[in-house]
Amino acid sequence: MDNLDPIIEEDNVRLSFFGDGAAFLGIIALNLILTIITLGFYYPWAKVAYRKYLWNETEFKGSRFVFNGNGKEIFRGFVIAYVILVGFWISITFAAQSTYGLWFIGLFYILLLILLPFAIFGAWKYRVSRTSWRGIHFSFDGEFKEFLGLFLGQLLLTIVTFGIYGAWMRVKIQQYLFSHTKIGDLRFNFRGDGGELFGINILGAILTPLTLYLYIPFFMKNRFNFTVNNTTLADEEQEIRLYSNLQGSTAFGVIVSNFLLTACTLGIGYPWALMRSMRMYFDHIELPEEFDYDALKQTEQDYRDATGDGFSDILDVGFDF
Amino acid sequence: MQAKYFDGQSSKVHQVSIKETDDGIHISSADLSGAIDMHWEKSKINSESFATGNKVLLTYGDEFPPQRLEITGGQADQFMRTVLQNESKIKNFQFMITRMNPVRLVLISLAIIAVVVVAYVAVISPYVGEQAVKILPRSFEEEYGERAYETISTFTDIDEEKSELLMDFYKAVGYSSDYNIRIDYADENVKNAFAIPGGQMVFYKGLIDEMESWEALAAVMGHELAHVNQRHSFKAVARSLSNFMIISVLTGDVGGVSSVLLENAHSFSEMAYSRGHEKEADMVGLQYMSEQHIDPNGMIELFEILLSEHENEHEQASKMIEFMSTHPLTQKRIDYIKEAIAEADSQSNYQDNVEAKRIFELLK
Repeated sequence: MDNLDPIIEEDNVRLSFFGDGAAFLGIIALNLILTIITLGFYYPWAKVAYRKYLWNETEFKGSRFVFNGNGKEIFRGFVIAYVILVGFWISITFAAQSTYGLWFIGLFYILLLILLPFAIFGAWKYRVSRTSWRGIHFSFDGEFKEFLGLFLGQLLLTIVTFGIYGAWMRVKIQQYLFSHTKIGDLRFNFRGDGGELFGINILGAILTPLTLYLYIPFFMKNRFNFTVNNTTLADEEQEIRLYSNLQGSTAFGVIVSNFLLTACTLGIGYPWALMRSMRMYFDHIELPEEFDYDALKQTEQDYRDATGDGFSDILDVGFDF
Repeated sequence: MQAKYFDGQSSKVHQVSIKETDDGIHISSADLSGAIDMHWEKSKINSESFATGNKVLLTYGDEFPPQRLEITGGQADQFMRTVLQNESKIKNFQFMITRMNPVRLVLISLAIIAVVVVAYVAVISPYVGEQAVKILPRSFEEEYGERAYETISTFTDIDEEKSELLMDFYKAVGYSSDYNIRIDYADENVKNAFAIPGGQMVFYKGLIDEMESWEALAAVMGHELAHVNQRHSFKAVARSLSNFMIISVLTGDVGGVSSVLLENAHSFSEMAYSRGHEKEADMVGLQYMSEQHIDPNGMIELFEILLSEHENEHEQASKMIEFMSTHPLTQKRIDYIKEAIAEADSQSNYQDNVEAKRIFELLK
C-alpha cells in the first residue's frame, strides 16, 4: 500500500487524494449489480455514487470536496438528451428517404455540430455547479450563444488549417470554460498559450512512436503541468497561480506500473491503477499558502440541469482537463 | 466531541463541539464564546458524504445553501450510523463499503462481478437476442440479407449456369423452407459454403469439387438451410446489437473494470454462441436428410473434406484454442454426427435419389 500522507512543502498547500482501490472496487460492484437488477435504470444513481466517491476522497486544507448531484436530476437530463437524440435519429431516417434526403442528412450534421458544444458546455456547467468545498459551490456563468460562436469559429479555423490550429482551439475553449468558472467569489482563469501546447503535442507525436510508446507518461506529464501551471484564481484584490512540478520520472513510474497492474490482472487491478493516477495528479496540484482560503463567499444559486451532462455521456464527448 | 461547522455562506471554519441528543445534535462554539449555539433536529439531518479516514459530512435542511458539519475520527462514524438509519439501504451499503475490511471487500466485490458476468453471458444476453429476433418482422430480415448479399456478390465470381443446377439439386432432394431460397455457385477455389439471412446461400467450387457423393452436397445444403430456417445469423446480429446496448448502458463512466470484463465476456459468449449455432445446424441438417431418406454419411464425408483441409493448415494450433473458436472442432463434429447417426440408424431406410445424383454429376 502506498503511504497515505501526501508530502506537503512548507510554503504551498496541496490538494490530496485518498481514494482506495478496494473501496472503489466495492462501489463499482454495487453499481454493477444494481444496474443489472434495474435493467439499467440505476445508471444515473451509479454515476452519482461513482462521482461522490471520487470527489469525497479529494481534500484541500483539511476539507473534502463534495459532489452535490443526485440520481434524479441526472436521470432527467439523460432522458431529455436521449429523447432528443432518438427523435433526431428517427426523423432523419425517415426524412433521408424523401426527395430532399441529402439536405436532411446535411441538417442532421449541422445539428450534431451544435449538440457537441452544447454537451461540452452543459456537462461542464453541471459538474462545476454541483461541486462544493466547505459548502461553497463552484459555479459557471458562461453564455451558450457566446460559447457556440467561439466553438464554431475555432472549429472552422482548425478545419481550414488541417488540424494544426487544434492546440490553439483547445486552449481557447479551456480559457472560456475556466474564466467563467468560480468557486464562491474567486474566479478561475487560464493563461496558457496555444503555441506551447502545440509544441507539447508535436513532441508527443514525434517521440511516442520513436520510443515505442514509452514517451506517453512524459507527454501526459507535460499536458498536466501545462494545464495546472496556467490556471489562476483571483478575487478583486489578488491573483494566485496554481502550481505543479510533476516530474517525468514520477509519471513514468506510476503510469507504467499502472499499465502492468491492469494488464497482468486482466483488468481487475484497474480500480487501484485509477486511484494511483488520481493520487499522482491531485497530490501535484499546489496553491500558495499565504492566501486566505477561509474568506470564500457563497455567490451561487442552486443549479440542477443535467441535460448537457446526459448529452456528453451519450455522445461520449470526453472533454476533460 | 470536536467538529468543523460551515454556515453555507463562507468557507470560514468554525470550530465547534457537538453532542448527540435524543432528538438530534447540539452544536456550540468550541471556545465557549457562545457565538454558535444551536440544535439540529434529527429529521432534518442528511448524510452528505463519507470518506475514508473516518471523515463524514452532515448537512442540515433542504434549503440552499445548507449548513454543514465536518466530523473526523472514530465517533464520526457513530454519528453517521445514527443519521443513516433514516436513509436508503443503498446509502447504507455505500457507507459499509467505505468502512469494510479491504480484503473481504475485494473478495465479495470480485464474486459479485463474476456472478454478474456469468449471468450476463449465460442468461441475459442470449435471452435478449432471441427476443429481439421474435419481435423483428421477417421482411426486415430479408431486407437485411439482401443488403449483405449485395456487398458479397460484388466481389464474388458467380457461375449462373451452375447456380441453376444447384437450385435444381435443392428441389430434387426435396428440402423445403418458408424462405425464398436462392443458391449461388461461386467459381472460386475455397472450401466453404455459407448462408445469409433471408434465404440466400453461396457454395464454393473448391468445396463441391472435393465431394465424391451427392449425399455430401445434400449434407452441406441441409446444414446451410438449417442456418436459414433457424435464423441463426440474424440472431447473432440481433444479439450483437443488444449486447452493444447492454454494454453501453452498463459502462459509461461507471467503471473501467465492468467495461473490460463485459467486453471480454461479450466476445467469449459470441464464440460459444456461434459454436452452438453450428452444432444446431449440423443436427437439424441431419434431420432434414433423414426426412428425405438421404444417407447421413454424406455429412461425415463433408467434414472429412474440411478435416483434411484443416490438418494441413492449423489443426494443431486450433486444438489449443478450441475455446476461442466460432466453430466446433471438425473432429468433434465428426464424432457427434457419428453418434447421432448410430442412434437413428435402426429406424432409417436410405434411398438413392437418381435425379439429385444426375445433377450432382453435372456440377462436377
